[in-house]
Amino acid sequence: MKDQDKKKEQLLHKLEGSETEHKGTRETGAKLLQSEEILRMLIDGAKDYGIITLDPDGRVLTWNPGAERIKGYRAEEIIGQHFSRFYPREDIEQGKPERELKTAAAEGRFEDEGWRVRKDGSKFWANVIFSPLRDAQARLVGFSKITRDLTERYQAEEELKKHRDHLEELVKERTAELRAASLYSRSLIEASLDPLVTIGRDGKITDANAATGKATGIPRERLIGDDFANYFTEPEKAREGYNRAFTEGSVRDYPLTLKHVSGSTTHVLCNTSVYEDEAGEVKGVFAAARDVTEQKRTTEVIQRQAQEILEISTPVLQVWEGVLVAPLIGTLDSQRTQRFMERLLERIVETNSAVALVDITGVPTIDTQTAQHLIDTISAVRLLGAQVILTGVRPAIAQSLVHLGIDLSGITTRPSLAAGLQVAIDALGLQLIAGKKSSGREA
Amino acid sequence: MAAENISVIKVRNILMVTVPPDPDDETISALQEQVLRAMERYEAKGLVLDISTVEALDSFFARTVAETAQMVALMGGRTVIAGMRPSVAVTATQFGLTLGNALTALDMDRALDMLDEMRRERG
Repeated sequence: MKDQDKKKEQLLHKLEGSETEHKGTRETGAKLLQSEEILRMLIDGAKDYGIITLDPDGRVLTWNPGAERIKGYRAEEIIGQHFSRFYPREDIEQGKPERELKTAAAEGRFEDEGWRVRKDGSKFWANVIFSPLRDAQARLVGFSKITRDLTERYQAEEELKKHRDHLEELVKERTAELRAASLYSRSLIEASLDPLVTIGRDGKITDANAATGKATGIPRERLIGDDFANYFTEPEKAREGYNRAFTEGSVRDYPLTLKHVSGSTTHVLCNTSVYEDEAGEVKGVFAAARDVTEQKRTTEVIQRQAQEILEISTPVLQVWEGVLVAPLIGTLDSQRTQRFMERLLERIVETNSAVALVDITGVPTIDTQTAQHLIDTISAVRLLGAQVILTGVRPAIAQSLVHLGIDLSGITTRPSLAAGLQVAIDALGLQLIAGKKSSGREA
Repeated sequence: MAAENISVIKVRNILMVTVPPDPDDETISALQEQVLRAMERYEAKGLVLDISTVEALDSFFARTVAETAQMVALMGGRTVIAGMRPSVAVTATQFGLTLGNALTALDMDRALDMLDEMRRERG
């Protein structure tokens, strides 16, 4: 555009120059004619530019093929018409055409981009430059108007803008979604009552939730970057669990004890698993610690009580030298039988007793399993070289033993402890007679 | 090596053997051999196997002992196993191991008493 202006100016300048140089010669007229011809060719040849001139009021004076191509009017149709017909109705109503001419006249140039109307009424996006034309006395004789059809560029720009806006919208939406998702996950992590931490490959805490801060008494910011093992009473054991998570992928219910800054401790079971990035590379481990202090205490109490019950429920008493009495009370399970058996055998060896009376008066019911436990106990006692007399076989017990088809025929049984004691004394009497020489005791 | 660990002692007409703490199969087999040879040589009437130092009992041991008791019976003697530890008795029961018709006694004294008793009963 500017090049075009320049060319035109240069031409005009040349025209003036040649006028001054060759004033009054015959050649001048010819040259002038030649210059005007060149100018005309230039203007007509500029197919992409609508180059027209207007009179001072805005009526079309000259029209070039470029203008015809852009606006659709032929020269004979438009010359003499007011240029405001190129403007959309709303621009005309606002007095835009007149204003533009005035500005151009006042400032020497006016450039505008906007919608213009073709002959067929369709609109195109135009770049328009007005320049005032003045004579030697600087009187306004008209305007030159150069118009370019930039509709395609405009549309492309608009399209681009639309795309950009759409993209921005999408990015905004996606960002909001991501933020919401991230907030949601974070809030879940923070809502967890169990301490949750992530630990990097270097063993340093990379993230921790509020519950972790609570369990350790150390704020999250200070936890991050610190060695996780420092927060357990047994750092070595903690590290071992951490390493196992890497080799095995995950570790369940790993018992550890968390330290609080105040010195108190929390027994926890850690569930640990490795986590990966998008490429599938292991980035570290995720650990969740469940506070089991209360359960542990309860379990300990239960275990202790169960132990006590086992102890008190199976007393083994020495009632005479060489005679033990073991009154069984309650149901016999395998664990209890095991302990009872061990205790009875130990006491037999300790007291060097040849006879043990096992009284089952306090055993509510007897089933196949209980009977088997008793038979096992009696067999074990026999292996030691002692004898068991099973006493307290009440009618109901006798019935169920027979109905269950349990054979106790190889075992001495008596209905009451007293009767069993009698058997023991008899057995002892025999032994006492036999042992008279060594023990020196009288029966 | 197995045989050197075992000494069969004869007191009057009773054989006494202390089984080493951790007998292997070879030792147990050697034990049986020596006991039977001694039975033949001394015409003994009884055998006391002291297993008070034995800490674990396996099925081979249990079977060999039961068989030995049977063999000794065929040669006219009774066998008493003495001094089994409570822990050994518990394991033996759990695995269902038995000692056949061998008798058991709490200790050596009682084992000798038992053998005396039986001889007297038999006349």
